[in-house]
Formats: sequence, structure tokens, C-alpha cells
Amino acid sequence: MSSRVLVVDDEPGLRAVLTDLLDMEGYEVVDCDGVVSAKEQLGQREFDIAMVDVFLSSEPAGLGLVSHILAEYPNTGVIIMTGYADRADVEAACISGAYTCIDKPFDLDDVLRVVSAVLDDKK
Amino acid sequence: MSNCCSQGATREFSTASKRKAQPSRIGGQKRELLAAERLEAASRLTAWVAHEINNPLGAIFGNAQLLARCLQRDIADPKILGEYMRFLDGIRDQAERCARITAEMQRFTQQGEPDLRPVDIPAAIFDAIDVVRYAFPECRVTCETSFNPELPRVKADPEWFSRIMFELLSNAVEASGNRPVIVRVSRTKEKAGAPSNIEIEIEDSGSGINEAVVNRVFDPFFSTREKAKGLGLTLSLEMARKMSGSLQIAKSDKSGSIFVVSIPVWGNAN
Repeated sequence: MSSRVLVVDDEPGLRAVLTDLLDMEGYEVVDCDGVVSAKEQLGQREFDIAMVDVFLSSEPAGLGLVSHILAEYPNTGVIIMTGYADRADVEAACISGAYTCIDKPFDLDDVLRVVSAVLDDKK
Repeated sequence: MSNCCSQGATREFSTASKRKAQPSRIGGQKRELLAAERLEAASRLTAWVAHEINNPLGAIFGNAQLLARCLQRDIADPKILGEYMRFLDGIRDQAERCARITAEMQRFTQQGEPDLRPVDIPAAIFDAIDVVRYAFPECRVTCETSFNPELPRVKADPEWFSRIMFELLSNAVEASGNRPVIVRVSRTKEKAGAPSNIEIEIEDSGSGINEAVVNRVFDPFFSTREKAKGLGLTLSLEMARKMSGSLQIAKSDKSGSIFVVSIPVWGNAN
């Protein structure tokens, strides 16, 4: 059974790239554009990985979603994505359990390496 | 380390004490505050622009990479594949170039707070002069001050102090060409309850800053040089300010300019 990945990003262009990439690599991908739809998806099925953009609709709501996933879905590995340089909040989220943070714009090979590392870590 | 400064000399701040009376600083504290406000506004704008560019840039970069993967998977003829990949490399190279620009913009907004430590002024100045001499082999930077071994250390972030010194020295060298750049160090008098400061003057032999723009040299993105980003003095001023110091222009006329960095000593108040 392929691993399931939740991609949460309000940028349709980037969301499409990540979805296509992970789909091409054989992952089952569900994409959401915000916190509400992400929580709905999380309530409906189990995800191996959640990739969450920190800033959703220009607000750092992604970090709240990260905290929610870490608290409610401990089996889901969390990868944070950010296009901002201010890393203090992101580093705090990583300390509290998120696997890592990847900076935008990112290299797709790096994304695949991180996803693979999270899955290995979960085994 | 080769320089003309004599360490361990018996007389403290010999040259500085002989210098003519300090001219009044151009702009002063009001100027510094205004520049700090402008820097903050520019930082916010820069962070927003960098973020807004990074998102579509990520999509451009990502789609180019996805297309490369598809082409490599679907095209067997290496000649045709190579031709297509060359076009994609062009897209990727330019996207990477944009990414480097946004990363640089983000570094500008990411200054943070200083890591204040006792910093040895002579050593820091000698190091900065060495770096400038390496970058500008033809330059003539000399230090006129004789340092007393008892010279107090300053309360500064060593990295920030080096960056300020490099910025000021390299600006002075560029303004002076092969004419001299002089560094002087002096100590301000202690005022009641307040620790004294160490002042470092950098005097160039250029033709001075145009009167019309002298009040703008600390503004973000302002420069009289065509290819300069106009951030060096802005960031230097901000770094000095965050270290409870200052950066001012003491003089600018046809015989050259003097920039003065003032940093508190690491003394009793610490």
C-alpha cells in the first residue's frame, strides 16, 4: 500500500507541483488550500505525512495546524514549508515534534529525500 | 599582522588627542532615528516581496523540474532530450538566480539582535584592515592611533563590528582610490552614570559626499554608486544602534569625509 501524504498550501501553483511530484513517485496525495479543509481530511483518513505551509492566507495559521496534527495525530509525520526567513516559530514547531522545515523555493529532489526520510523514521 | 598601528605604546590615543576639535555631526540623533524607521519599513516591505516572489518562483522551478523528469522518462533520443533539457536548464538557471535575490532580500530582514561580548578594538580593527587590504590590494589604509594595552574592550557583537568596519573601510577606499584612508580611535569622556564610548573614525581622501544627498546616505536602497545596493550604510547604522552605539558623518567636504562609529566600552555598567 502506498504512503498517504497531505499537502496543505494556499498557493495553487506550488500545491499542484507537490501533488504531481508525489503522485508521479507513487504516493497517494490529498491536497488542501487551508486549515479547515485540512482538518476535515485528517478526520476522515490516516496520513503518513502532512506537508504544511506556515503561512496560509498571509497568516501564520499553518503553525496552529502543525500543533493540532502533532497533538491529535501522532502517527503523522509533519514537514513544515516556509517562504519566510523568520524561523523562530518554525524552529519551535520542529522542537515540539515536526520533522523538519523546507524553504521555498525548494528543489524537488530535496522534497523527495525529506519525505523518504520521514517515512524511514516512522518505521 | 602588518599595519602601521603600534600596539602597547606608552601614550594613549596619541593621534586622536592631537586632532582638531570635533566638528558637529551631520544629522545627529534625529537622523539616526529617521533612518531606523525607514529601515524598519523597508524590512517589512522586503520580507513581503521576498515571500510573494518565492511562491510563484517555487511553482516555476517545480514545474521545470517536473517537466525535466517527464522528458527524461519519455524521450529516448539523447540528442532531442539534450536539446529540450537545455531550454529547461535556462528556466532553472534564471529561477535560481531569482531565488538567490530573494534569499539576499531575506537576509536583509533577518538581522536579529546582537550577541554582545567584550570586543578587543585593536585586534578587530587590524583584522578589518587586513580584510580590506585583501579585497583592495592597491589601497592605502593606515591607522594613526597608538593603542594602549589598557584600552578597554567595547560591548559589541564581534561579527557585527567587523561588518561595520569592513563597510566603512571599503567605502572609504573606493572613495579614495590610491590616496590614503586613515583610521583613528579615541575614547569619549565619561558622563555621570553613563559608560564612555570608544569612537573609531574613518577618514577618506575622496571628494566628499554631495551636499544634496549627504542626508540620504543612511537611507535603505540609496547609493551614489551605480551598482551598489544601498544597504551597507543602512545596515551598519542599524547594527551600531542596536549595540547602543552610533554611526555618524562627522565631516564631508571637498577634502574627504569622516565617518565615526561609537560603541560603549565594556565597563562597570555591564
